[in-house]
Amino acid sequence: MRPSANAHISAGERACAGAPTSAKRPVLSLIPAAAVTALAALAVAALILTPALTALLLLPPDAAAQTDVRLRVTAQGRAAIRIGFLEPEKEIADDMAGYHEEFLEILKDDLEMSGYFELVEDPGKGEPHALVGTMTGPRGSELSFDVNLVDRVSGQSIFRRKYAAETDRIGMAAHVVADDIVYALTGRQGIANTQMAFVAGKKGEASLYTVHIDGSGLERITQTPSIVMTPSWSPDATRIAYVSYASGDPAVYVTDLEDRTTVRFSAFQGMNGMPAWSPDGSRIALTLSKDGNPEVYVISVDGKTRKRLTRYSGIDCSPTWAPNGFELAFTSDRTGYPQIYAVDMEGLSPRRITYEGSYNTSPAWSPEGDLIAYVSRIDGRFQICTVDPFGITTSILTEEGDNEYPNWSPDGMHIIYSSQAGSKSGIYIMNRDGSGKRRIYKDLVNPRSPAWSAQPRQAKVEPLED
Amino acid sequence: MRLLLILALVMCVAAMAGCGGKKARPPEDMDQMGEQGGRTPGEGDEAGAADEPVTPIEPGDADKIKLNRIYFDYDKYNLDDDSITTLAENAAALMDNPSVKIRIEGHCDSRGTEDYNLALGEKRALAARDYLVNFGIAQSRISVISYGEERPIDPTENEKAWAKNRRAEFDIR
Repeated sequence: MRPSANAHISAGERACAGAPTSAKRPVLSLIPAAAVTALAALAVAALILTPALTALLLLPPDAAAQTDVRLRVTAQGRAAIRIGFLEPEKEIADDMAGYHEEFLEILKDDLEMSGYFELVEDPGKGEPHALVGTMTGPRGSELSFDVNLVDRVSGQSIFRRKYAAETDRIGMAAHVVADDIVYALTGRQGIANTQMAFVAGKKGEASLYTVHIDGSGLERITQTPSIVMTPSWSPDATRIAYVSYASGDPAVYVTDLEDRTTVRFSAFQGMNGMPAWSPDGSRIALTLSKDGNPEVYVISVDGKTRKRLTRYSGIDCSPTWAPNGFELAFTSDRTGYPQIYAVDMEGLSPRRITYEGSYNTSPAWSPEGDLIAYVSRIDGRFQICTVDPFGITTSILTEEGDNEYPNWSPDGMHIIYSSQAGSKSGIYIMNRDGSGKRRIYKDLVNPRSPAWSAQPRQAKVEPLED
Repeated sequence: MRLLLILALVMCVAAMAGCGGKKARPPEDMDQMGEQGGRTPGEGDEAGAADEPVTPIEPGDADKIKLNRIYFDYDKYNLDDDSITTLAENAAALMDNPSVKIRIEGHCDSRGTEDYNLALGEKRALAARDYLVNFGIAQSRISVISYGEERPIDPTENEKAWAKNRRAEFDIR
């Protein structure tokens, strides 16, 4: 019996029943349609190389007997899913060993970065699930991968998919596989195959770039060195809005990444800053000073409608969308110091969210809506913090150097930010609770203002079947 | 009374200063203005709303007057006594040279976030503009721009440098 490997795990109650040994570990909840809840630990077994096997369309999906199951990770205390890598059962051919090693290394790295998994070096027999993989080829310059997550107790597969990739895209292949595994096991989009936009270059001579989140595939988007700031992706990841002074005055531009055309979106008198693309893609919130001082506006992407949401004689700026599109958080100094507020789409009764400290700016609403990341001055340094939208619980997530530009991963599990900390400066990611900090980019001059794309990067790695 | 004294003083100074004043800074800015839109990546139709018209620069009196910078406290955009004194002098010089148009640049020190500093620089420039307008200078003669923390006078990171960088400049167009 061969299970399908679709977006959901097709394991049904069997997977639940297969997890008795992990009952003491609060690992994750399985929630099938029948609301049966169980706990499971998962193990990934080896990627075994079997030379010269063709890997095309061997597995007709046998989905009829399967029950779709969605795994839900326990809220904040998300415990890690245990996975292990077993020794391959067959000898690896010499000409494949290098690819195999590289693939495994990147896959492990990605699974670790995803924040869901605990990698187990030598998984015991008690681990109820295992991922079996085969890598075949190369045929020409192409490798094939067969990835198969198996319940080691029943021997049944709960995720199986085949892939093909050029040998020089083995890293991308590993990213795609990692994201598929994350999606299959958690129901959430992975982050391994995503990209970010960012700004780099000396002050006043900067450019906008995009790069894969693993640091590869750097592309320069703006060609004229200028003041460039605060990129924001369209939700479909085809366009980026940003501020540029290339004309001499600040304006918000939108560059289409597919045909590389650029449109000047907003060039009112005075300040045009801090664009934030709405979650539904139809509007851009931004800061304009055309009416006499910095205020938050929302302009439809077609430019036809414009609405002012704030009315205060001081500073209102830096809007960020609630994921439902009904509210914006923004920075205002209406109490004398910058604090974070939220306002609805009618601009009525802004409510204050941050109270601690005298400098809280640059809000970024999480894609799940449950937290707002922002920058706070603490003991004279600038740190990334989070607060819930009602202002009840705040957490300080960074402590070294000066940190700016918090921005969420599309899965809401990670925060990306830039850090000025001497030789440790660069763009970092961390888990949403501040753990697992790692620098992901340090090239070019002063990389800053990262914006994480909501969509996977177009990869030339295609699943061959589901 | 005090204002009249300042005015008289400023006029004397302006007359004595003659051509020694700060020159307008057209080269780079003019180049950029002349290529508005064309310097952005790729090609593109400009669906920009309400573009600011590019005003021709008339040298005229521009070489004859000197306008001084004003400075601000950390994270503030209110005008202190020193700033008001300087602004009164600048206003008098502008009164005296009615063909001069200016752009007020607002700047911040490097501390704090880039986005908030952009708004803070804008408020500093606007505070200076509002003073001049209240003084009687036509608002049509004044444009403002914020550079946030992008153009420090002194890029070093210490109190002295930061104090120099928190400023508004008066750029004669």
